[in-house]
Amino acid sequence: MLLTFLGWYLLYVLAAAFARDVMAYRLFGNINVALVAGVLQFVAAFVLAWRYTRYARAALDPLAAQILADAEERVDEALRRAAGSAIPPYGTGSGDERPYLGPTPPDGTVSYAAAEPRGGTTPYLGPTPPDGMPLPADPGPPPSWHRSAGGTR
Amino acid sequence: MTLAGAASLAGNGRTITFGLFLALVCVTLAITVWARMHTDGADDFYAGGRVFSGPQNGLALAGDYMSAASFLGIAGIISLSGYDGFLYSIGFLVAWLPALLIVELMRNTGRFTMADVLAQRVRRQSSVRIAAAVSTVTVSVFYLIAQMVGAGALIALLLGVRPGATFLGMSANTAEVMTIVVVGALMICYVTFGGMKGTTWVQIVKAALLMFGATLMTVLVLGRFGFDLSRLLGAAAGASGKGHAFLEPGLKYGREVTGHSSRTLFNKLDFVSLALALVLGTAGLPHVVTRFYTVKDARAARTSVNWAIGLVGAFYLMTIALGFGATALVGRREILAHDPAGNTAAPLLARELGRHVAGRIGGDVMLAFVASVAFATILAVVAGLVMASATSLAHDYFGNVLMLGRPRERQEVAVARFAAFLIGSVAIVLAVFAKHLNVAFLVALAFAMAASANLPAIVFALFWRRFNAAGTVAGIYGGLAASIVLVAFSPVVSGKVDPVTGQSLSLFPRGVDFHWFPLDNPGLVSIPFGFLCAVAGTFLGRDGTDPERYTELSVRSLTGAGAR
Repeated sequence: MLLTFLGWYLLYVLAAAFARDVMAYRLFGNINVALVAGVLQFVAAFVLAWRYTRYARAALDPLAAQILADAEERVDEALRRAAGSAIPPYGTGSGDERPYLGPTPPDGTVSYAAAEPRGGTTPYLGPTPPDGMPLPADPGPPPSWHRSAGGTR
Repeated sequence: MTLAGAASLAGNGRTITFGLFLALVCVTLAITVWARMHTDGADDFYAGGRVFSGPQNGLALAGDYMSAASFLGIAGIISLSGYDGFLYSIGFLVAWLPALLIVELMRNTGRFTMADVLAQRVRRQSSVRIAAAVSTVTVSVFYLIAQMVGAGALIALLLGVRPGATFLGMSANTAEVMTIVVVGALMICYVTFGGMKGTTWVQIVKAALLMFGATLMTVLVLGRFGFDLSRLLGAAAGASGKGHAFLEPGLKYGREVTGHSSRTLFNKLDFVSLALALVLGTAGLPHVVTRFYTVKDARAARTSVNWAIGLVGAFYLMTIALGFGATALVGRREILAHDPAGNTAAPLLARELGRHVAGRIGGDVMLAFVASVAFATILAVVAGLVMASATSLAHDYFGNVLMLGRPRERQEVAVARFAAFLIGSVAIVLAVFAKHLNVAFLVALAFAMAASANLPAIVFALFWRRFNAAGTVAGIYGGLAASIVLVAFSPVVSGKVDPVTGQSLSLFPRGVDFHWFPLDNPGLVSIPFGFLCAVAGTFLGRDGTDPERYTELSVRSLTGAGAR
């Protein structure tokens, strides 16, 4: 469809360059073929945008949702199988046992935990709280804001 | 004649114009301060926190895209060359359809920049990142210089600053330099402090102002002709002195030169080349691409491009009324007297329309309003360009190459702010030096570079399983180099002489002539060349392809897994 449209645009451009007589033909009043063809380009663009949006809503969005759902189900199932029946399905357990689901990031930058000595080894570097308050156990996994091949945000 | 005309263009309106300019600066700076207080972290700075809705981002896209060149420039070209100006409008609109088809895929696969998408296809990403950053910064800076040089001349014109006259105690030349510096300082301010949030809101305000102004003027113009388009066109053709040729293609692009069939053919090919670059370049323009990431998901991105298509389409349809209206109501001679390039056609039309409705004061107010719309347009577009190149430098080069993909968030954002300052300053200096040169061709060059260097890489990365790092790098550098070399040896740089006045129409003065490439616009050759380089690089490159990564990218581009 895009190709048809780009072809129509190209035809229009070529006509404007090489078929001057046709373009100059006056349809009514001062309105000539060139103007009508030009405005039709706008109409075609609007129609194509509308058609594509309808197609995307009807076909692409459900497909994407289905693939995502399938993938999650399969991961959950694999987890369950791997750990026997000890681990309940995701969502019913105490913590989030799901491993990192995204694809492996490039260059082996698997996660911040591997790259920087934050997380487990040096839990809290700030000054000791004066009143002997217990140190926070673990600041949690470092943010994945930078990972280009996205984390599950 | 020119001086008298200039004095009357400024006239009493100058005070109102200047007041509106100041108001606009205050509003945008207030937005910037607000945005600074609400910006914390990379998602906020690069992508406005991804909190913008589809319609909001659509307005911002339109605001980012419609430069002063398209508002004042196209109205001017139509008013002087008739139908051919409209060809430009069509190219600018049609360009959004390729963008619509890739926007969701890009939004789903990338985080902040174009390179995020490309880098996912390769194992070692630093060379790809560097290439993408080089191309982003080159395209943006060329576009930026063209915009800023134009801004200097344009604002001076709108404020009525003329050679020989003084403005606030400055000579015309100083005033023009000051304008460039002030525009540059404002744009650095928006980006450094406001980040993407500030920039986006500035663009939304500008787009709303522009659409309002254009609609108002269109209604007033059509009202003068009893809402009969045919009557308007007839009046324009009559006033143009060119008769019906004015309503047909061929006055500016693809001009027929009697007796020189090769020259005629080149003129026509040149036009085809321009049309190609416009249509294929938009989807690769860095400041458009970074905008895709300011919404929360692919659906919102699709909605925003649809909004942009609607707004841009409506606006360019209105340029018909604005351009032909200017010819019919203001007249070709007066437009030429103010600016030979026709850039003042829209402001002059505004004054004429306002005067018809509410006398002299009405004219001054309308003129001032349209001048400030143009001012807002310039500010919004240059801010978007600086934002895009700063993002690429900080995220692609600093974050992923220098810091091997693991900088601290704070550090990278600080670098982005500094990069914005640096690029902005370099652009100011270059624009001041290029002030007297004819740099209008830089805009067309930026589109050609985006189409020849960025588009092949994006398209192949998304759709071609075998594509690899060598292909990406070859495509980007090949397309970039081809565009620049072809333009350097084209008539826009040397050897084009006005047959009537004998003055040079090129960058270099008359007498310097080293051009061998016959077309002004390199697109027709450089775009296929860029694609060819990408293909050749893929087959010759030693790093094997990675079909797994392609599958992964396909799933991700469709579902958005991992991008939210």
